[in-house]
Amino acid sequence: MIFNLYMFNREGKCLFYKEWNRPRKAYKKPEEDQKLVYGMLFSIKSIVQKLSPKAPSHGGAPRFLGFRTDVYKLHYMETQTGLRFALLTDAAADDMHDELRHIHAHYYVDFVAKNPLQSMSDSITSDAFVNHVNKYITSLNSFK
Amino acid sequence: MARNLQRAGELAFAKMEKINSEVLTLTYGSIVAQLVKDYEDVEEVNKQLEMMGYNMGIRLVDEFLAKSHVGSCQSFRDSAEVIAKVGLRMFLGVSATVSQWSQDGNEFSLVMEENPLHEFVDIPEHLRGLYYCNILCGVIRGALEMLNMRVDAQYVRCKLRGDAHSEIRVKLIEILEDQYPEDDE
Repeated sequence: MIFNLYMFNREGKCLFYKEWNRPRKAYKKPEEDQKLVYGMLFSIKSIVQKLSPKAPSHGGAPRFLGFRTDVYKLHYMETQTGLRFALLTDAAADDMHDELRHIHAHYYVDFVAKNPLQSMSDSITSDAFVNHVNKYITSLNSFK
Repeated sequence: MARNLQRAGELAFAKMEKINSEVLTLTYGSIVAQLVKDYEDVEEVNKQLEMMGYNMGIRLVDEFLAKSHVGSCQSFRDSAEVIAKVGLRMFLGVSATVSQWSQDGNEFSLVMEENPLHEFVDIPEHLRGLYYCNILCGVIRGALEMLNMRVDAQYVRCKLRGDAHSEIRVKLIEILEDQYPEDDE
């Protein structure tokens, strides 16, 4: 089951947020929730790099991939351009990194990056992007 | 990690949708011609072309990463080779060579023997200072900035000005760190 998806740019602005299944809302305003998630991801990324037992030049520069609890999993993907994706699924779901890469490569690149009228530092208003992502996520096996 | 960048460039180029080169050349030419008419000052036109390129570069880089499947670069030298062999080949159809590294490894030259944008173009005497393809300098600067590298890219030689080949000098100014957004509450 897929719960929700966050997309942040390198400045921490939430470009896209969509919920498919989130009965418990722990926030009053979505902005608070998004800021919290971004802050957490930023901190974890930094700690993950500091805790790495191997030196970065010897294959030890770690990439944060996500975390899991007994109830849900968070899958994290960051592009070299600083675009951050966080997808929450139930704990039994498989790895979703390929799916996140698909969203970036096909929907973000085509409907956001290549659209000159869509600013890269504001939330995504492109209907094409929103609809494609929605259709894609709801069509996945892991969605149910 | 030894990787064949030439091959990666060819593969990426093959995957891209193609456009008739005359349509591209003439479209670009009409952009430059319009800028020349609007601004009249050659330096200003160069600056506008660079700014247009910058806005293109910040967007192109995501497509580049998605379609070229080139992994992260380990050094600035690596980045230079990737730009020359994969990036330029993928988007412009021609690859470049990297040469004339500075002592500290922070500056290099991108040398292009041919450039599809140059076709049919002859720069008249009164536009001598024009860097016709300055948009490429902007694209490089924009793309690298999204990858946390602030660079300065300038044309130093241009085939349209009578030089043997076109050359862009790229200088690394600084590597940007991830900034935590200011809390404005």
